[in-house]
Amino acid sequence: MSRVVYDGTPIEYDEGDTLAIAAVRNGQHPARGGTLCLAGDCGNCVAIVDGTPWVRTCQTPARPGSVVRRHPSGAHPSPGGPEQHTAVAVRHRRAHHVVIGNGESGAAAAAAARAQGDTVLMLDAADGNEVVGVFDGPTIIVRTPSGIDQLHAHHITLATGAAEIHPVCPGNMLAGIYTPRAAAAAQAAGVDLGRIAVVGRNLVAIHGEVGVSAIELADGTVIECDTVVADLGSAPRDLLARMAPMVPVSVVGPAAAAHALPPCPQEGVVCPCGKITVEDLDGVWSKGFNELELVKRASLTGVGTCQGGVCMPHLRAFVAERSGSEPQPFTARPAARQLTLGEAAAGYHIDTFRRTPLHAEHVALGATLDKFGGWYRPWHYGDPVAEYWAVREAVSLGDVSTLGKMIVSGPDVVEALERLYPNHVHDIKVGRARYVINLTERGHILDDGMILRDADDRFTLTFTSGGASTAEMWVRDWVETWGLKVHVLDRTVSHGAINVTGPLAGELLRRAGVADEERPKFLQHRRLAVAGVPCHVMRLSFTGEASFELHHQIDRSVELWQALMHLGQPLGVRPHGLQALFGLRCEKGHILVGQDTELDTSPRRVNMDWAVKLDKPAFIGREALVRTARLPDERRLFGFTMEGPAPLEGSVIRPVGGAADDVIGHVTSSWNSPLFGHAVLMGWQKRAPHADVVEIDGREAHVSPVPFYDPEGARARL
Amino acid sequence: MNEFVETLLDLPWQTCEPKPAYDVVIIGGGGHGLSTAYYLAARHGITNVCVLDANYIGSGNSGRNTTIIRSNYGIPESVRFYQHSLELYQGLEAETGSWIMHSTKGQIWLAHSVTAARTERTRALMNQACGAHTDYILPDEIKARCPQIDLSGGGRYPVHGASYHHEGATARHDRVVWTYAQGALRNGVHIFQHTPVIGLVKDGDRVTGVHTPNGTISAGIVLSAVGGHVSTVAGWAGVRLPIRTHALQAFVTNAYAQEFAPIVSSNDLVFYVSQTPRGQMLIGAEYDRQASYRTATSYAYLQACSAKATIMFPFLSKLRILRSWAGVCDVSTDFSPIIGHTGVDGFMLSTGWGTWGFKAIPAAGEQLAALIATGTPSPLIAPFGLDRFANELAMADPSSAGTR
Amino acid sequence: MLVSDFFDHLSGWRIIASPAALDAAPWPQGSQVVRISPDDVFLIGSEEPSVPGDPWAIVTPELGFSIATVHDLGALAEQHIEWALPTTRPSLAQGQIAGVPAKLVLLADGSTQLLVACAARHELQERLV
Ligand SMILES: Cc1cc2nc3c(=O)[nH]c(=O)nc-3n(C[C@H](O)[C@H](O)[C@H](O)COP(=O)(O)OP(=O)(O)OC[C@H]3O[C@@H](n4cnc5c(N)ncnc54)[C@H](O)[C@@H]3O)c2cc1C
Repeated sequence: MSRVVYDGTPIEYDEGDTLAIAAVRNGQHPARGGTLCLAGDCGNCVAIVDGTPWVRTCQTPARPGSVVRRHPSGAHPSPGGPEQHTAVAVRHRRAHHVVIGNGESGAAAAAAARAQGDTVLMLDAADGNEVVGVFDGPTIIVRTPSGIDQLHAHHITLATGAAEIHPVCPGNMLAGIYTPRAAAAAQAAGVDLGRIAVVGRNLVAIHGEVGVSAIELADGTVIECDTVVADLGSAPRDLLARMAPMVPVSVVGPAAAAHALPPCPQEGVVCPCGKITVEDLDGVWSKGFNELELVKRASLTGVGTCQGGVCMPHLRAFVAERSGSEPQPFTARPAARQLTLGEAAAGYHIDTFRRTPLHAEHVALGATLDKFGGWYRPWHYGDPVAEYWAVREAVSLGDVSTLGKMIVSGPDVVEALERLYPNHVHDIKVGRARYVINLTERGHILDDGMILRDADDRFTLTFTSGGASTAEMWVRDWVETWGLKVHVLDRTVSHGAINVTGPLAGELLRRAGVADEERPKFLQHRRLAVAGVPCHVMRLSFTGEASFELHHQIDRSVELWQALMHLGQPLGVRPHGLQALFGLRCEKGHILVGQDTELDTSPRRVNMDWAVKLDKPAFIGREALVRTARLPDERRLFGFTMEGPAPLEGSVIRPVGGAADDVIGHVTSSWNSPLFGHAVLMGWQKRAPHADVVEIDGREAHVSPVPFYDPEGARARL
Repeated sequence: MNEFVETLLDLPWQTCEPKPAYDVVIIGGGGHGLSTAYYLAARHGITNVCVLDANYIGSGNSGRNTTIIRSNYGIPESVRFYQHSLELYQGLEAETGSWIMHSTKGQIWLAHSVTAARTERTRALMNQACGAHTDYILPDEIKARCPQIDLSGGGRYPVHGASYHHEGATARHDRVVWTYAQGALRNGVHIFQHTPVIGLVKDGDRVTGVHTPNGTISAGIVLSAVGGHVSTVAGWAGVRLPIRTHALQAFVTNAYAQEFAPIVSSNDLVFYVSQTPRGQMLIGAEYDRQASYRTATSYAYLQACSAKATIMFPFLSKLRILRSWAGVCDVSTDFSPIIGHTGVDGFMLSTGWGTWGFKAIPAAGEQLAALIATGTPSPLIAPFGLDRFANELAMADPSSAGTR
Repeated sequence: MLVSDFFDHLSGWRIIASPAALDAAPWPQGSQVVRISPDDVFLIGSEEPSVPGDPWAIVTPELGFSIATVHDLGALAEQHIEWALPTTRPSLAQGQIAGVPAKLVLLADGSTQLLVACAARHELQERLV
């Protein structure tokens, strides 16, 4: 004989016992009283099993050494400490026809299906397969001894049978009360139930202290006994069917049958999970909560472990008697059988964080990496100010492999791009590039990037790292909507890109084998070998300095990066992270879409009307811009400078001397400029007249024209 | 009788049939319809009011939300409005004598990345300026307030910091609904359940009443407060709304001893968890991407939420999921409510409450009642009029609506 | 072991062209044609191909993928794939595997290759062990 430890006491059990049977075999109630169904329908046998509370002991096989504790009396169990949770296996399985319930009706349904040539899979809680729910798909979620099964089925038959109705009367929470099937199961397992009294609807009270000592019948008879077997009929076990109203399932057998309601309960506990009594139901009814749902919600009946399994027939009988009409059962919701969060989480992966081809280089250089737009990116390499100066005074490398990159070609490509973008595209010459924004249909800024013309009918497009994930869909959706002939190939994860930036960037390229005359000029691009690596070299500038973005196949990224770091050593090259980059671009007044813009930022609000050509006949957002151009609009993004340390991004902007809660906007970008020795910022003024001086952080800030740095853009052309 | 039942106030239903005409007919007996009715009667003496609900009161989202009350929004207009609502909630038990199980818990909004930390810091700064009590706090304080957290986030989601909203609270949703219903009924408002409105009565361009299966009811003003179904009702009035309807799901575990004090949300992971007064752990996340009127729940949602919740709170992995559900939410394009006039005479709206409108029930009802009584929107709700969309004055606040 | 070690930078060509041109294209001898979509071919193990039927075809080297050999397709599917695998070979299947977008190339000889973007390879690899 093996043992389990039940509330601190080792008890012996027989082979094949559930924990509940083991308890009653030892003369104990598995929990603290209440009718036992031993069929998983009620919550009267729940206990803490091996540290997990709320486990139905009647559905849990006894295993040597299992530790069971009862829930504390009159209180909820503690959730327990943060133990490491053990991994749960998940299986994706497929089946043609699944029959849930291996009873008579299930067996018949299975036989009929097999006769028609179906392959049938039977699931039954008795075999350890607890069905948690039936979901769209249809997918059946099954809790099995080895983990969670996600079962994808073509056809589902529910043959879950009927649940026996529990007695509601004074004393119905004592130990020693069984349904007929539970009593039979206990006896079949060889459990001695002592003196048994079998009763039906004539039961009016059960007497006893902890366990049953006697029952009282309607005619006043009192029968002494140790066990009450209450035979009150049954109700369909149709939780799964009611739970999935849109999933095609067939319900057969007693699960589908209509059952008569029990008599209206008079006294006792109706809802054992919540210990709700008939008195409570009367209480809410008399207060005007006079229909099933209101009674349920006001008394909190039917929202415990058994999800109404026990109380529903009684509750309906109660409402039927009080209101004179029989109410429908309330909505059923997953989970039909409970599973833990650990089990539900099994096999699920929250995000996929991508790594650029230079990830290992960054790690080796001591970078602090952070997740940014779904990628791990270097935030800095230990000294963001030094990184800043490397860009401003020497040369620096930035990993911009995360940029969205796309090739488009086709007979209609110019037409498509003219309609996609608010600026002109047709006049971009081959070998030239143009900065662009893209808009939503509402005329609000969606993203920004570059258009580079590779040939008359072929272009390269770039998008921000954040916009990259939806860019291909955006282009394809529109092109297909318009019926234009354009081929689209996303290159985001296939091409790496290194930004070589700083006044010595050209010199570094020269040392990497690019002759001065080959070097593209500002807003030009060209295909060149750099340090022997074929590159698409784009001359742009986000930092404000001369910048060459080297786009290349990612198998050569590491080689290219290492060569540039090596060749650049005498020039003082060092890599820069996002922190320095965001400061550099802030000095240039370049917006970061999503940081400096809001959900509804039109070009005019960020002073970018120049990027919109309303003389074009059609582009996405044009109608909206034409309409809203006539509206007054006070919301504007401004550049500011201020003395002292840069305020935190997000600081509020107030009128000078204004009240504490008079907020006219907030700071979107803020940077202690090492070059200027004061703070440069961008932020909103959302109320006209716009002030020249505002208050931020209790200090004055002055509106300043942007770019703060090199307004003529001479350095980018160097 | 248990305490929960004992403390309920009566619902003093009217005993008559609907009258042929009312000054105000409110479609929808959710929190918003009922609080508006209550404040009309209690504050403005406008008692010739009826509320019609297609089902029972509170059968919509007001009876199926995760009950978070907070004002830590990202734009001044929202912070002020929700802060007022939060304060009304704090005083609601005293005002009505009804126990709504209000409990101030504090809300921690976690950041697991530099960018999220920036958002949470921004939130704290904006809140402080506009009267909401929010601070940016560091991991040590987070751990002190919520010892169950794994600050390493399973290695993948290390906690950088959080905004901490001191006054974040919860209240029992049904009790809020009933409290307003009781108050309205006591002041003479009529509430008819199981009375769907199936059309609007129009006189030219004006809305003058509602059609129900039992007949027509005339109204000086018809207010739509129909939660999840506003596109249909507004359509009857000829009003097209910048609204899409999505299902939002949530789930609870069994009940456990009270050990989890605050409400915790996550900016990067987008989920939230709290413990109800009854001991259940209540967990939710984002609304379903696909627009829909279905209230079915999905296993993928349970999976995603469970994965997110257990990675931050390993103790949750042993807890058992009891019940999941969903409600359909009217989500506006700028994630802010739409309150007030519609441009159609006689027809007003309280909508766009999306996944965040439980916390707004007191303030929206109060301010809308004042608007109906006076004809002028107060500064608290004036920014949230429908005309803002045409006027390019959206109240865009996506990062605040995110986690309830 | 469900899959072999991954090999980065599977070398091939990406060809975007009209479906008709791709149908008719004379692919080089010995190359493996993976038809990602009607207008998209991933050509593995070949010289630069040409697509005579479409003057606008985009033909470009593709080095963005990692490849592994699937040792036990049944077990991989049971543990990590929610969707149904194709029932015929040769064929291509695309979707999430252990939460990572990936492709399965089911070859006629009964073997199966697993393709994933190099950028997400490490995530997939960690999840499959
Ligand atoms: C899962 C979930 C969690 C949420 N969590 C939170 C949270 O934590 N914090 C928060 O602030 N908000 C939360 N919300 C949002 C909040 O629940 C809602 O915004 C709010 O309840 C809306 O109230 P309402 O009165 O406008 O609508 P509802 O409560 O939905 O009421 C609308 C009523 O209108 C009735 N109706 C509809 N059509 C008709 C008709 N034609 N005729 C008559 N009657 C009709 C319905 O029967 C219903 O009773 C959550 C929502 C969900 C679904």
